[in-house]
Amino acid sequence: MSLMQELLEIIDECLGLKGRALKFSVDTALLGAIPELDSMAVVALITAMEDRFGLSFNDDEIDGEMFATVGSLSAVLQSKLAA
Amino acid sequence: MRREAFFLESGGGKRFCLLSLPEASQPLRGAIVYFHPFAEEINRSRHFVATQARNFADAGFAVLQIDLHGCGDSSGDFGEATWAGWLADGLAACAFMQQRYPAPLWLWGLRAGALLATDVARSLSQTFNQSLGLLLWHPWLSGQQGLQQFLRIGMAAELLEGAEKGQDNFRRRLEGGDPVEIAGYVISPDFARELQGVDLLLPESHCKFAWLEFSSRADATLSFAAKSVITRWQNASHKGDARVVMCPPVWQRLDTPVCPELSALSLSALTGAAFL
Repeated sequence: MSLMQELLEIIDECLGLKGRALKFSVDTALLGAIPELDSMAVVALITAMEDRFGLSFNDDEIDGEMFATVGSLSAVLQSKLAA
Repeated sequence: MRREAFFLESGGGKRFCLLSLPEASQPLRGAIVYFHPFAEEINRSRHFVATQARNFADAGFAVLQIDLHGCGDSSGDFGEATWAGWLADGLAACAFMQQRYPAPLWLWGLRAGALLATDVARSLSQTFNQSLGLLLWHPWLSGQQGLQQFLRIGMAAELLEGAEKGQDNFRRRLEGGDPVEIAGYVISPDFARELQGVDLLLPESHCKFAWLEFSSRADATLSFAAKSVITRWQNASHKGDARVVMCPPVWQRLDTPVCPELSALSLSALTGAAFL
């Protein structure tokens, strides 16, 4: 499974979108655009990425920009994995 | 199935309790005390847990759900809660059940409740010489981990309100001796400090455990962190095992999923069937 597909699955599961997220594209807006993305869902997304990819996010690495779109989140994930 | 609601005295206050019981004609297979999760997770998991409690009662178990100090319909504000107080509430609930229902005792907890259940079991085992069972649903691995996740919710809320970056004010304010409010819940600096000192530890003896990790993936294996704890417990000769079960995070989601596998595995553990 590609990174993008895994990320979309994580988004779908954490927000309870029942498959809708699997059709998202790189440009799909997240923060502020999806009502299910509340503060608990943001934390669930971070935790899920940490668990699934074996990563650890410092609190100061987390900003609003990374959650702007699917693409911005994917970029952060990719750079953490490459580090 | 029958239901009873009442208040239990604990810590100088009243704790709301809901008892789900089998039909009077059914033989009692065990007594279960349920420990709920932290803050908003209580509300999000409420319906799911209520259904499960009913299932357990239908299967012959007496199930007590207690609202801890400052939670649900119990007295006190969340900001006044302490881990020591919650431990005392748990012990009061267990004492009530042991006195009324002479049957094997199980402590069932979800997330922070699972961590609390192990702490209660440790206190209980000193005075209680019968076998205790722990049914742990996706436990907090430590108070520290749980606190970090909770503080992150506060940070996430700031991001949603338009802040560019999480300020990490929350931790600093707590360390400075000030309470913080996150998603409508106040956490006191004392409580935060207590949480940082709580770890997943089992009593020295007379305890068996069933650990169920929730995952939305069908092919998931037990997380590395859970495996570490369980291996430590098994090496210390504790009887028990863990499984990953396909079920979304019911403590975080707004919808209420249906998870027959979780029910079945939980019941297997309680009735001493294949699982353990």
